[in-house]
Amino acid sequence: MNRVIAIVVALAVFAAIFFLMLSHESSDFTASEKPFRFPLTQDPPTLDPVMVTDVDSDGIVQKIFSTLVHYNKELVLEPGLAEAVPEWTPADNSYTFKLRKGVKFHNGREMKAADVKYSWERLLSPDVSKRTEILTEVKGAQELLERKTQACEGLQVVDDYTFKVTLTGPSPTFLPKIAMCCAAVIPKEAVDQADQSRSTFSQHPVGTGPFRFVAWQSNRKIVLRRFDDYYGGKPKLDGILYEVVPESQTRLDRFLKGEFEVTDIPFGQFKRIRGEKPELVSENPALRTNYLGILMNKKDEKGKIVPAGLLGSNANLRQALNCAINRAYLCDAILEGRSVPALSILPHGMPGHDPKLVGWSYNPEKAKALLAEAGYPEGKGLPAFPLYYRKDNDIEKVVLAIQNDLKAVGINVELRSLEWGTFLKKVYNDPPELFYMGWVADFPDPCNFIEWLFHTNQWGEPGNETRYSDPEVDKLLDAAKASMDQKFRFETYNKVEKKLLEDCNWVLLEWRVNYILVQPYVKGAKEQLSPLDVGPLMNNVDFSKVEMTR
Amino acid sequence: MLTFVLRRLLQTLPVLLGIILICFVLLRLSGDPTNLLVSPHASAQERQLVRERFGLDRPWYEQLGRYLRFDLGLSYQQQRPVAQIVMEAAVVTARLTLGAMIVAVALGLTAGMVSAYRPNSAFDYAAAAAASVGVSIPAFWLAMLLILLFSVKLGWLPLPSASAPGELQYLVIPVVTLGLISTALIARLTRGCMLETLTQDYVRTAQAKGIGRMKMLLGHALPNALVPIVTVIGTNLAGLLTGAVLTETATSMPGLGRVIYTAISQRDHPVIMGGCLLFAVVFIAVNLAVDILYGLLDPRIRHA
Repeated sequence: MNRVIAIVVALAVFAAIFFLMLSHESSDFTASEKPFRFPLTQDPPTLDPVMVTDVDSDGIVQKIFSTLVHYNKELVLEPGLAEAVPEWTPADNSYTFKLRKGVKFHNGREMKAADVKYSWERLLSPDVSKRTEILTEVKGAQELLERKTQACEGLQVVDDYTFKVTLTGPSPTFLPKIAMCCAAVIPKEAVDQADQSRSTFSQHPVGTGPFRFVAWQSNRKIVLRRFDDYYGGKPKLDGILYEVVPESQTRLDRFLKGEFEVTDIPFGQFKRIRGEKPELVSENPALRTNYLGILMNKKDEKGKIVPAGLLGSNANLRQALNCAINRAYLCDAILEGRSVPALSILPHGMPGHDPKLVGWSYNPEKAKALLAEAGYPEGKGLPAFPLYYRKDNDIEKVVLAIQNDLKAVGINVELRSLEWGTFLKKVYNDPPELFYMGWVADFPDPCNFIEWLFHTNQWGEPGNETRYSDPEVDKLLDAAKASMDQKFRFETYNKVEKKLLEDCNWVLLEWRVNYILVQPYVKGAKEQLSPLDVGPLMNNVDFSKVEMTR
Repeated sequence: MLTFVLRRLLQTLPVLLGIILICFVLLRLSGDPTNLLVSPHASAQERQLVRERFGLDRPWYEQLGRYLRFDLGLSYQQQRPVAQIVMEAAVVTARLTLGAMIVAVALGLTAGMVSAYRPNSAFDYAAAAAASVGVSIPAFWLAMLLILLFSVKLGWLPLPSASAPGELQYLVIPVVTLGLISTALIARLTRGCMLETLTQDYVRTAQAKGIGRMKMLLGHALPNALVPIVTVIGTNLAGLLTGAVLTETATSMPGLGRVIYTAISQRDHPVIMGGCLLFAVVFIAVNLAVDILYGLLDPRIRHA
């Protein structure tokens, strides 16, 4: 009997401990305050601008920090911390930025030109930065990267409010790249303070943006409060609350109960929600093209570039692949209408996109004829190609549909999924003949697609994953890169794109459209969405102008 | 008793070392995490700097040596000490597991005893059916069903939220989800053990002397049936910790399971290692506690 009493007592003790462990946390906002509430699928990897490589981190960082220039919804550069978008000075390949006066950091100190220099030299420090490529055209950047110097020669403080950047040559992509959040201006003392307290700047970010950082509880929430001294005017919202909700259905349920102002739409529910609650659905085209990459070339023992595999050496086969895929079905049925068939490499909405440039359309009969022309009538004698893709439920649905389409014309593919890191390693180091990929624009300029992904200099890991190589194309791309004449550049990129579509080293699949749910009482947010906004975090929206009319 | 405890403690050391070694080898086999730490456009020099920063350039035995000294280092992703990340999450998981264990033991023992008290009754059959369903339902699915019923349809409980993991109303669904799965097992085992004990000679003797059925169950049958039940409760407690991975994901609880799940998807090796080590320590500690309890419940085991 004593043992039974002991068990009851033990249970009572455990119950007491359990109740003692319960806690009631004070709310981050008072009852009268109205924060804008975002759900996150998981913790963002970082809040340090120089380490941002993902969409989630970018979305939060853009609320805390500001850059010298930024893009508006029409994808036109506008001044940010700079008074105006500077003009290029051809004589010495420089840009001179006049900084706004009176811009305050969240710690109360005024931002000056020395802060821009510090921030950009930090961006060029490979031991803290993941985005050093943004400033590689700056004079002296290479020496700083190689640690031959302590300071970057091309970054010059003229006076407190004037900052001059000298480049190694003309660079039409310098301004687009510094509009990215990674080039945000930060105060040195905040970085030093984080280092001294054995923490990181990512855990205690300080910027000049419309909202100041308050707290980050890992796997739970991130709290931002309105920054009253924001240079763009006092924000209308009291703050922003990001809460980690891994389950897509829970995010949707909580949005529908009014617990979030915005959310993503789970797969499988898109058509239903668009039918039942169309007023909540917001739509904006995204600068993203999804494709199947075909390995074109490899380097032999002597380093000479030679065609790789059957697909790389047989243009008819590549064309047959392009004609065999029913993109309309893929977009409407498999992706529930979230995408439109990709007609060219540059997505629509991208500056320089030429709507007259159209790739291969769905034509199974033509695919069969091309297959016969390639020497494999009805696919006889053609080996099965392994198709590698990132392990992901949605991608799996897409590649299964592709496998069926290809089989219908006589081309067999074996599906092979890999975890994202392993998949990337495979594509970089031991590229498969066929792989599923997507590219989202870092900045709205055609070079971000056409040069980064197809120039021989970008071979492999830097971006040219299909190992495409054509000396004529390289020459054209070099000419476009060195020119400040936008018309000439866009015409050149179109010329290259036409050649790429003929060569078919990509099997174009779909252009993604960004669909999210936004509460009807949110004003001024979806009106600002641009093609640079991917996902529900409204990355490029100026949140100082957003308000809620509940 | 002290010698017994010391002997068991010494036995746990090679187990812990083995776990560290297996985790280390498996993580190394999963590839180089540098790809996820640097930009796709990073140069070889930049990659080398990052490798130096996280000690990935050190020989394998030096990296293993750090873990053997329980120096878990910094998280690749959060750049915070791993010990801090793991301990924050462990509090949430401990709260969840403790609550689930209370639910499981209280409901399981009671249902098992009632079934044994009235074997082959309607309650017994219903309990057996419920137990079969309970052990078969995946935790994340049960969590979703409970959320759908109590949060979405009836609105009695709030929808899962990571921002208030310590408040009772948010804990009800995850605790019940996790607890119900173990309840089924404990209930069936309690019933079986008690029915077996009831066939023993000493029980028959007690019955012959005219002891009441309730007194016989609680005073004689249950205490002697407790040894296997305590074993199952012990191993279940550790199982609840690992089962929490799915429940925490389904109910947005920012616990250890979620931390490890996220770390695996981000290939954050130090955090995976830290989480696995903590799980291992808890498993070992629970097993040790169960062994000690055996000794208390059945002195014959202590002397064996």
